[in-house]
Amino acid sequence: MIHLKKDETKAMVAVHGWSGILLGLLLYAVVLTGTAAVFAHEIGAWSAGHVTTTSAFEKPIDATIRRLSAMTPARYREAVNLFEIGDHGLGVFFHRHELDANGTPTESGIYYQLDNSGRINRTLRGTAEEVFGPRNDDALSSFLVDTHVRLHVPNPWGLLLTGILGLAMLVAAISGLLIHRHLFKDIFTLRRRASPVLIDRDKHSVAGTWSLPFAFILAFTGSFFSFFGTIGVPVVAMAAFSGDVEALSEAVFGNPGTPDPRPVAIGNLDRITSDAIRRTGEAPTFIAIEKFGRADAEITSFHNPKASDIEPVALLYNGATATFERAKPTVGTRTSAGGTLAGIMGPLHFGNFAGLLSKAIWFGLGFAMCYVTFTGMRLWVVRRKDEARSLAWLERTLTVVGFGLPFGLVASAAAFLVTMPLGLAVYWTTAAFLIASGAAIFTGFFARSNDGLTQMLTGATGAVMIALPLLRIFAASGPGWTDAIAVGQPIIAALDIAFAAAGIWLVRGCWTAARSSTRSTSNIPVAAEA
Amino acid sequence: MIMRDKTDPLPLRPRRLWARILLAGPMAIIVALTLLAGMPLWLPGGAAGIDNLVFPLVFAPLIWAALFFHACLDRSITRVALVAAVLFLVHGGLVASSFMGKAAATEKTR
Amino acid sequence: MTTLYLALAALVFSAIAIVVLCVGDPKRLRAVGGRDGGMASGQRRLLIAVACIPGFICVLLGDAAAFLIWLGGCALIGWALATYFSVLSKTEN
Repeated sequence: MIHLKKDETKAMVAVHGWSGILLGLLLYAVVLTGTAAVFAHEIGAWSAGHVTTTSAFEKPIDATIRRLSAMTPARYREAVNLFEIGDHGLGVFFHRHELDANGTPTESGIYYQLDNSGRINRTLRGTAEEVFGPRNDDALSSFLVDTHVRLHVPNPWGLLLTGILGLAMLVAAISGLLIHRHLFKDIFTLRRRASPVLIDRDKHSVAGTWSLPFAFILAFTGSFFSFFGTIGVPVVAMAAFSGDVEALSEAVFGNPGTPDPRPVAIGNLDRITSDAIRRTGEAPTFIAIEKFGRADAEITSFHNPKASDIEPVALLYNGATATFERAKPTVGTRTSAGGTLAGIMGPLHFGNFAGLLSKAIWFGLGFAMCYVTFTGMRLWVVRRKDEARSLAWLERTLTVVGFGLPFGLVASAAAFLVTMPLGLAVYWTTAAFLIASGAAIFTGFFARSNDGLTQMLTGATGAVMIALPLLRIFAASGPGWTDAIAVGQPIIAALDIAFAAAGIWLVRGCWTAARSSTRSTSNIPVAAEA
Repeated sequence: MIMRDKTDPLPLRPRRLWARILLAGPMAIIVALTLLAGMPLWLPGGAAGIDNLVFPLVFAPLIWAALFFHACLDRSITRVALVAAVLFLVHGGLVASSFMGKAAATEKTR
Repeated sequence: MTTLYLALAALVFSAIAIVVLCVGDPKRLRAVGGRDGGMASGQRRLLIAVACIPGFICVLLGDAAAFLIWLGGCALIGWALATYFSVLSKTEN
């Protein structure tokens, strides 16, 4: 397709191979958890048995917010964020903008967690980094997202690490395009009767070719998100605003206007939510109140994209009078190329712009990219295995990570379902992942062969997946299928079926592979005698 | 006049290889960061006055990738170094003069 | 709903072209030890253009969501077809 000279191709092959093998295992972990995290919201609803389908914003919230405001010290009433948590409960974060000990802008305040009846479940005090951790009922989805976003490494190092992995994926995608001479000619060819190297090469290049545009998009948007807050904003703020990050934030996200700090009670929030729902046809996903309790208060209501669009919708209201001012872009004060570009980065990465259909497609593409990453590393190892016996350990490591990671993730889901009713899910979700990973590593040391190791890990993953729906219903006392469908949560039944079907498929595949390898082993003495 | 043979292989002698690794590695990062800092100072603001801030932030990974692949693929290391140096000096100079201008303005106000 | 219908219609249309491309792919046929030849390159280029038409329609209609669903869906369909025919050839052999 793109014809480079021989030595240029050789250089690109080296770049492609080394970027893949050095960072491939970590990249695989990020991509796999990212694939699962596409359905984080649905997994949260499935695992915690969410049966409420009315949004928290479709019910009155004004009285609740005023009550909470009266309980909150004045110094934290600079701004308020409202969002849904748990089973359509309400999260309310009263906060102020300040600088932390390192001079980094942060938000500090009080975070109230309310259930869907408006009762306060929990109150947390601290900075945004401190209060927004996992809860018992969302420990599983939080674990998935946190692994994907920063591999559980503390900020900013975790974000920098995943940012670098995003760049590695970008390099691999571009170099892969450059080295593949016959991209379209090879696009349907998966040889079965060929050397292991060619078979692996075909698997890698076919999956890679089909998913190439999305590998590029996801790598680019992913590294943008990782580097945005850690490097991008501080550097741009330093150059353009003498280091004032607040000024940069105000320029990009703020709303211009004459300051008016006169104290005025906040306008009727129920009027705002019902107006926003009427205008957009759906409940807000997030409401931000700036300059709370002032005459110049601003309330922005964020919504999912309109049909046919991918950029989220933002409606601006006068906070004091609760009157609609205008629809504004999510980034910038007016529609602009830069604002639109920044606004679509999220939908392009998360695939959440058109409900379950777009999420399903993004899940499939994420799986394709896991496959590309894994087969690429396998190809690198298989090519060199005959030359260097020491690479057998790398092949094992690859199998342990490649098949052990899914096993760890389903084990953490199982542990979540068992421990959530006991209030211990936050600890045991992570602990179970580590225990399962340890078991996979242990098996990796002692398995007789790489194929045997693959079968064991695949079989174990399948067995746990089959158990998940049963654990959800019996251990976690989750709703049955008829109850879930009756309340408008068919996703619970759908995920049960998906886990059970995938588990049966994995166990069956493992069984078939084990039988065929036993048959070929028992044929050897017969062949020897013959 | 010496005519360069177009089939000359990519300079991969050890010293030149290290120079290429240096340019594709640390130098690409430094130049990308300098571009990230300098581009807001000359890009147009656009309809909402934020394009000059947002475009460098959004395109930073692609800017780095372009510098990286240029360093890997351009047959002339000298040209790679020259391009990197020009970009670095121009944008670094813009940032430096912006700081000096702000410092002078602060002095005047005092 | 319009986006959903447009995206699904676009996918179905392109899927037909991709299936035909896969079935007649010359290199795939050679790899499974089949007859030589396969589809002529002119025919293949035409089918590729036909497969891309729904994408252009989505762009012309300004439906970015449908376009992205179509693009991603085509990628998955193509990969799935390549895998399916490969497994099929393995079973037959």
